Amino acid sequence: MIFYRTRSREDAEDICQEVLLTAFRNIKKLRQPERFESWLFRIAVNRVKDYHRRQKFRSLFSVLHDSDSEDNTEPPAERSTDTMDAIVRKEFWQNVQTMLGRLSKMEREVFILRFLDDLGIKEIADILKKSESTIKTHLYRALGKFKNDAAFRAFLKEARP
Amino acid sequence: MTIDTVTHIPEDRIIQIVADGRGAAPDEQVHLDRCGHCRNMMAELAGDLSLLRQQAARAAPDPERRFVLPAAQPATPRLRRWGWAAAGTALSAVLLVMVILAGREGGLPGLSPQTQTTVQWEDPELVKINMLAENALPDVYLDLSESLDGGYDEGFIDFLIPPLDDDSVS
Repeated sequence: MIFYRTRSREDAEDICQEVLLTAFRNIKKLRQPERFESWLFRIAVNRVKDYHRRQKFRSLFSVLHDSDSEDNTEPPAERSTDTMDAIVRKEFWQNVQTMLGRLSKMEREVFILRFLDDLGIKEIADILKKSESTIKTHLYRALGKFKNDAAFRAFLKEARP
Repeated sequence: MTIDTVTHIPEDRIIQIVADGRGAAPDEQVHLDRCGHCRNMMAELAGDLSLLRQQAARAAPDPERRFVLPAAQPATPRLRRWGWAAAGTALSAVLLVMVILAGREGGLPGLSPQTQTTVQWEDPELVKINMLAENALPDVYLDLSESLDGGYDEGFIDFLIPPLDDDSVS
């Protein structure tokens, strides 16, 4: 789920490590063990937010940001070993990015949690600390936009394995 | 709301059904069973979302790094820890008392207090050996010196058992 939000394996692994360590250190604070998954997701979502804040901050000072934001999402070794696969992946994520770009920030977060991370509405409400009705409102809007995105849905069908 | 085959399920409602993932209401389900249009629309939307999930999972690279978290120390029961500490303290106290008492009563004759504490629990033969080691002389010689407790004359002992480097014997 972290990779879906960073599109960089190395960054995703760094964040994953942070998430696991944070969870490990704070596991005693978890009062309802049945909510472990939501709790872990909340930590991850917050860490991803931190990551994007840092990225945004760095981009203000980095002239080279544009050159390393898209092209280096896959490590060079991976590109060289399976170039075709890398191109397919890159194209897929570019299309996902375009589709998600039509959603608001909250719609995007809810959509990813529901349809990519496969979480229920109650869990999403727990993670984002919002009411279920708020989550549903954003989710319905996001799904409506997805439904009307004929180009992306066509792409999904074409790219079907 | 009554739904028949003429009035289809509204598009917004189909979106809600798919998003909630809890299935349609009974009357909607009756309609869906009859109406291919609504059924196809719902199946197509759910199918596209399923495709998205599958392709996203496929397009995500496998993680290369392995995370190893520090193992938690197994909790030792407090009672057990206290039990060992109490036993150790009690044993030390008993030994200390025994040493003090042995020192007051004088212990075994001819041995230093240190040796006495060791010898008390040993075999009589070992006591003799220890005495020999301590005094380096058999009892008979100690009797000659009229004492077993080291009040012997060094010169007399040297006379009886000359040192090895004493040329006078050879």
